[in-house]
Amino acid sequence: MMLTFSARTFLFRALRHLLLMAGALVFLAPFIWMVLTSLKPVDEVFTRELTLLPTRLALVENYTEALTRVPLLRYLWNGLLVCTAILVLQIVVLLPAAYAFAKLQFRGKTWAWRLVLLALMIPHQATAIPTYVMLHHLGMLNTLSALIVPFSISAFGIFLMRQFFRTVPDDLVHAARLDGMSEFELVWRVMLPTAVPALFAFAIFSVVWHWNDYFWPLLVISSPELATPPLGTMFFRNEEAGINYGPLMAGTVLITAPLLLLFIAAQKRFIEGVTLTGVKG
Amino acid sequence: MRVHPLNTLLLLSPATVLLLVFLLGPVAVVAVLSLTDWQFGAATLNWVGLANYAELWSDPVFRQSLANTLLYLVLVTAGAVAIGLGTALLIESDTQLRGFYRTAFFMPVASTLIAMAVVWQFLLHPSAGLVNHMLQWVGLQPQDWLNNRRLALYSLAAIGVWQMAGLAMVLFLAGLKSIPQDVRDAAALDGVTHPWERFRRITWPLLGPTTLFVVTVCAIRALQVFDTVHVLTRGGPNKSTEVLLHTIYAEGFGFFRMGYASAMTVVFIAGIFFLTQVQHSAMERKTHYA
Amino acid sequence: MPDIHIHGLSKQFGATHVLKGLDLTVRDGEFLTLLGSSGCGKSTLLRLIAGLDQPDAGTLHLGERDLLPLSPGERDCAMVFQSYALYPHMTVGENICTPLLMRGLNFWQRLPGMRWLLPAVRRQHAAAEASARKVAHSLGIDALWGRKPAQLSGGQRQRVALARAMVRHPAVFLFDEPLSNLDANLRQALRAEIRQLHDQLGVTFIYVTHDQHEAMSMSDRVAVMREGRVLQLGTPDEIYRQPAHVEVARFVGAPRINLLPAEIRGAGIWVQGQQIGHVPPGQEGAACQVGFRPQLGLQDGDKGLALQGRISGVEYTGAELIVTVQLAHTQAQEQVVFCLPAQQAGLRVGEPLQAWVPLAQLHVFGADGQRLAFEPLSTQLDAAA
Repeated sequence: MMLTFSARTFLFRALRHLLLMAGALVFLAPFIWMVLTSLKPVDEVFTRELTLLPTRLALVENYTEALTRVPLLRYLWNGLLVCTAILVLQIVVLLPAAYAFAKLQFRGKTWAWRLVLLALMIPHQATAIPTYVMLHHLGMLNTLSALIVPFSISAFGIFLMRQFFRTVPDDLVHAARLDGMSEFELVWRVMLPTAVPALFAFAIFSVVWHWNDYFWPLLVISSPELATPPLGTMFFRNEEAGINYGPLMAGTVLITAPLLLLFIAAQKRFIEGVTLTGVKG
Repeated sequence: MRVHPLNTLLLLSPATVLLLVFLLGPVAVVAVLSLTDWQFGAATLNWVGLANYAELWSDPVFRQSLANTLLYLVLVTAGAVAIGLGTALLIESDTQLRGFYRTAFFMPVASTLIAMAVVWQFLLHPSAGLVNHMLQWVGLQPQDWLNNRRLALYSLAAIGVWQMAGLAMVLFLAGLKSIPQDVRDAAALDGVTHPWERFRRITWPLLGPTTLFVVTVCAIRALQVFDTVHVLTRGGPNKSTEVLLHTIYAEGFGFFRMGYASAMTVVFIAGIFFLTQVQHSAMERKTHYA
Repeated sequence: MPDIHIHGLSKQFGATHVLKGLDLTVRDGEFLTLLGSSGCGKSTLLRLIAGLDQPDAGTLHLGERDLLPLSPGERDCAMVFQSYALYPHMTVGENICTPLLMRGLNFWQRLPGMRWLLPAVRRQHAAAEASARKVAHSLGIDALWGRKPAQLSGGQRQRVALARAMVRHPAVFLFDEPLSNLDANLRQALRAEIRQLHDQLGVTFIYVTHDQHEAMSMSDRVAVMREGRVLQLGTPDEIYRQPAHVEVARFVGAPRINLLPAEIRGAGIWVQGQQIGHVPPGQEGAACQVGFRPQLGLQDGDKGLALQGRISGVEYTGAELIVTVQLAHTQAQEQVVFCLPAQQAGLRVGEPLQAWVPLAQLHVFGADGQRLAFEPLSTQLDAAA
């Protein structure tokens, strides 16, 4: 060998860092640029040459503009409300069903399960048209309920939790029944505590998905006060008419921040949850 | 111990009802609607059989949309998988800074696409955008990325790759982890030292099922492209970025021709079903491989 | 092939020091076993020899040749893993041919498609296959040539792993607990086969195991390891009869060696209230241990270490009786175990028992665990001992 072992390792490591750092820079560039632009005053946004850092800090102006032009905080609040409501409903609906599929015997179980598997394959945009019409006839369009109710059922959640519940020993269920627990109590007192890690991953999956959903709110929401973050971003962009990117970028920073902070805080779990979308498709 | 059937029913009924009302029912309705010419708000509808599908077949907008969607799918899947695999291999090959790199490449996946699309709109701005500034800096010609008919779809595909590569990377990292350390050691002892040989003889074959899985995951996601199109190009210029979901949206909620849009939705569902089947068989192979 | 010299080898993972300045010489052609419980560093040592990890300090030489800068493929070591480590996507034949192809062809010749383009490469492939088939035949697995590892049983997989190692004719064979995943009968059969293989090939074998039976039955020499150090290096006989450390004595031999606390008063050593002999000076007041093997049986006559107690357990194994005795003269609840012929009469739980252990068969260990030179009391020595 021409080089010693440690020399080879050093060279290899340096090359690896070079490639990965270059890639990381490209992938992070939009975020960095977004933050930098949100700090620039209007005259520094449209410049001939490339200027990275602002010479004058316009942080206060841009962020105030963003917060006052449109009800940005309202959008975030709506997002939080809607996602939490969806998650809570999903859990309340899916846990008993997952338990029944995992631990109970009943007539028609195979067919019912096949229905769940079938529902798994349905992309959510496919059901838009009939659901929209149904909500229209119920007078529920342009309400937060329209954003929440159709998603209260998660076939994927049932699938995931059933897989998990199957690994819980049957004896635990038997012991609980002998202790006199009803089936409902069983689900909430016995199965739920064991399922917390899997539920956490599912929770992240659900929250991220619905927080970022644009298609459905676009269809059913028309009033800005009811907008979720993605829809709100669009209202904001249309308001700003794309002339002053400073506040617009400030707005996007505020809108992206919650999810990104959640990501950085709970990286492993976050990746776990989002990777579940891979399993669902 | 057999549980009282009433209890079981109560446990299952909320889920079952909601499943039928919001998932399975609507799909059935869509299939039925696709055989009518119903318009939203109309009092009556007529059965037209497969006429909608015939119209789809000859509709130039739909054909363009389908072609664009497929091109987008291929570009984004290939790009995301290639970059995802490359970064996963590089990250996994050493221990330094793994967490940082993983975070950096995954961030686009975690972010709100709509908001980042607006950022990209600025980045791709013909005069003030960072991309054109950088191109000028190295002496290349700046372009109008989103308004040039020939470039727009590729620009969107680039954003799609940016958003998806991190997901592919994370899935590949999991796949690489599942290759037993013993097999790698045995290969090292057998003389498989060169990184290319290691990749070709050990890593790539053993990653086979994972790769198929990642490809289908990316493909399914790519097929569902809508957000960037609606925010950045609205299908233009000249329908060069018109994609399946956007066409469905335009027909169903712009023109309110819901019968016709339902037929398109059926095509969309068929595509997803096909890819999901491929994905299931990939997962089967994964479990049988050991 | 020259000897392997290991000097001052140290390795730590994070905060754990797995190997602490280890010295060892492996003689050419010997069957050396590294024996110890998990965590003692034996597998780490093996991996360092193979080149799969780099040490933090120390040297490793094969004769004059420094092995440390060499990659695993260049060290001429072959390794058989506990989990077999067969390439799951290759057939048995391809698995065995791989090391030959890696050596016989250079990088460019190994590129895909070269096999069909260049006749020289084709010839190499054919030669490799011929060698591989020969080795497979010698191990009786040629019928499995086209199968994939997933279709083989544990024993078959292990033979394929062996074949892959053998086909290279390496200077050193390394075994990392290769039989742990197999059932008892298979283990016995393969033990014999591996030993036979060693005698046939005459090459250095370094074998890692936690099973003392394996170590004792297969090896020329055993290195008993604990916490990153070699406690004793010797033949199985030396290890058994003259354990240099109380841990060595504890580890080797089944049932376990009996250990009783002993006290040093002056130059004399006292156990169970009796003086049994003298130890070298300088150990005043130290707490040490005295051990003897259960297989000594019950000695008649009244010479030796006298033990009195009550039988607390009798296990009948068909070939022998394993008798546990609760000793009378103790502060703590001490028990000793005896292995006796199955026909011995009068042994029931609750019965009193008296036995004498010949002094010559006692092992004495100091407070630090090291063996102490011990001179038995001449008056208590049995005439025929």
